Amino acid sequence: MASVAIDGVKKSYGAANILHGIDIDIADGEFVTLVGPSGCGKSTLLRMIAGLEGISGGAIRIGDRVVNDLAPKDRDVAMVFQSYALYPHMTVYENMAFSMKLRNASAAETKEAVDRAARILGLEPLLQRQPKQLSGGQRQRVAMGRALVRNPKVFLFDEPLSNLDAKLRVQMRAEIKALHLRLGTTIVYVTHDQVEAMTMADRIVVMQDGRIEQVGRPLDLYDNPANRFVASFIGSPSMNFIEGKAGADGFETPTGVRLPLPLAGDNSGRSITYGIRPEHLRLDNVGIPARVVLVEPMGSETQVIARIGEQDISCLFRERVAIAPGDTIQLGLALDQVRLFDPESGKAIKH
Amino acid sequence: MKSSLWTKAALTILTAVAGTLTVFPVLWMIMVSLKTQNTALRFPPDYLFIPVFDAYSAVLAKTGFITGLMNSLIISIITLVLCLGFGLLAAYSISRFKFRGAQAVLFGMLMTRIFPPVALITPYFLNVQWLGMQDTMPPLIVAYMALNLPLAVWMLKGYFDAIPEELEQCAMVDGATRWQAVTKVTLPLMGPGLAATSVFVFVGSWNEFLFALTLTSRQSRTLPTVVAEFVGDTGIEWPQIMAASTIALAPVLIATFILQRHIAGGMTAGAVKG
Ligand SMILES: Nc1ncnc2c1ncn2[C@@H]1O[C@H](COP(=O)(O)OP(=O)(O)OP(=O)(O)O)[C@@H](O)[C@H]1O
Ligand SMILES: [Mg+2]
Repeated sequence: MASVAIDGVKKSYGAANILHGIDIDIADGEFVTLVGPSGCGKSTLLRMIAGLEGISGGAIRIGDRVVNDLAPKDRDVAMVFQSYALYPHMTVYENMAFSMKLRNASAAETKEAVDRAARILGLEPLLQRQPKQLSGGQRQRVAMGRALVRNPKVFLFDEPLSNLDAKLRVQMRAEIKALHLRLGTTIVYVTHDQVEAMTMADRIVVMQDGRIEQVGRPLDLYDNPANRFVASFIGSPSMNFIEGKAGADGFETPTGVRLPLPLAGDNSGRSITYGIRPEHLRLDNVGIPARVVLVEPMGSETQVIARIGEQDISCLFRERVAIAPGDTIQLGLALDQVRLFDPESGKAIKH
Repeated sequence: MKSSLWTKAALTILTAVAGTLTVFPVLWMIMVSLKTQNTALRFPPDYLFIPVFDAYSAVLAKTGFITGLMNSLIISIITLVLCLGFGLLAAYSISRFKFRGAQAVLFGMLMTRIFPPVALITPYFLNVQWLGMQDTMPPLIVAYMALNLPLAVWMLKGYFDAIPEELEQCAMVDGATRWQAVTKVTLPLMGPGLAATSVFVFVGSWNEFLFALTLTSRQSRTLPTVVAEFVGDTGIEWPQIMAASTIALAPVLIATFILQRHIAGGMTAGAVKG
């Protein structure tokens, strides 16, 4: 086990800058997820930690050793690839034993380690199969098992669940989390699924275009997003954003809708992006009038798309609601759940 | 359904025609090699006859034939080993390391195949003569390597490209050096590619005639030139020339039959998802 320090790390391919100075300090035993849209550089950063990509600037430390120039095999990390990368000419057992064999472990030691990992992941009946005889979910487990056989300083996961169906994904998510609790090994986990990030991580790193947008604990990111990008990325369905100006008595959109503004002092005329999460809107007797466009009952909750002024916003109600498209409803909101952003920079406005 | 039946029939007929055209000369050659000069020239030919092996024993007894066979084997095998060795190194680096000029190297190699070998034979002969190395094997091996290496590099690069780089990277994270990753993961998966490349390179030097004819005279004669000498002033001994050709063809046929199972491929199934 070890901490990982990423210190001003940059990456460029020729003239193309992919990562522009990434700083993350990962504590020993911490579970950190990297999230962000496709192409933002998550895999690249992970591969740099593993030693599969050169480092164009900055330093990466594992434990107290700078690993910039260390070969992948000397970094003592285990990685699960986005594509699984199972060795097709080896059985499941041989796949899992490969790293032990390279370390000249004894046959007994190897067998014990493989059996232990196989037991944890329920792979025992599959040990003599070839990868091509496995389903997608089973291959994913083997890829995980190959990492578990070793006792590395850091586990690196690159979207290991992206190819599984929804049910299996939920199950594996729980298994990985339980595994982390048991082993306590440092984990860096890449995903573009914010639910995975929220549910599994101790801390989340939100990235966009090769930059870090915010680092924090899942609920901190949810409650206090540093900017509009993080606010829209974390939480599902996504936060509603309404453009407008601060007026004499509250927030006002160009179409004349008025919303309460939790901002002290005189801000008249200031352009503001008004953010409110769907789950923070409720049905009220007196509130903002909205016309219902779409009702999507999901059993446990109901999602409603409603039009305020000329803008569609989504609302999420825990209770069953008796409304239909075309109805007019009144929406209430709690002031302390409103988030304000600067339309120019996208940064959150403190209030 | 009807159209697919027609397609099937048409394809079957085409395959049969192509197969016959390819196999007929070989069968004819074997047939004639088992006759005597007398029965071989009969018209119409006998398709059913009692085979005799006189031609084979005559050929094997001929001075220079066994030497030629051994020379051909030695030269082709050394060429094959060298071509695979250098070819694998070159192909691997072109496929995996994105260095400047990789494409230029690849195209440069292709260009060398545009030259007709005839254009090179005279200057090459003069050089060999100047070195005093006529009628020895090394000049032939060097020439065959030069002729076959570009093909080997092109083929092997294609096969390397087809093996996901992530497999190697995964092995390296698992604790392998690059050398171990290649020898334990990539090369075992390239079996079909290695087999196909080997057959091409081997046949390339095994069948070569022009350089062998020009650069050798007695000691280092290879099989194709020895067979050609069967055409003498006193007429052509057809069964003998066919027997010699059959013997010359045998190693290639055997190698291809053994390796075709591997060439069939399908070995990377299950490596990556999707
Ligand atoms: N070898 C390369 N040469 C040039 N650009 C590259 C190379 N590899 C990756 N990139 C670029 O780097 C950026 C980041 O890629 P990366 O694979 O890290 O994205 P990602 O965040 O993992 O995306 P995804 O969620 O789709 O996996 C992309 O814009 C990609 O085009
Ligand atoms: Mg990726």
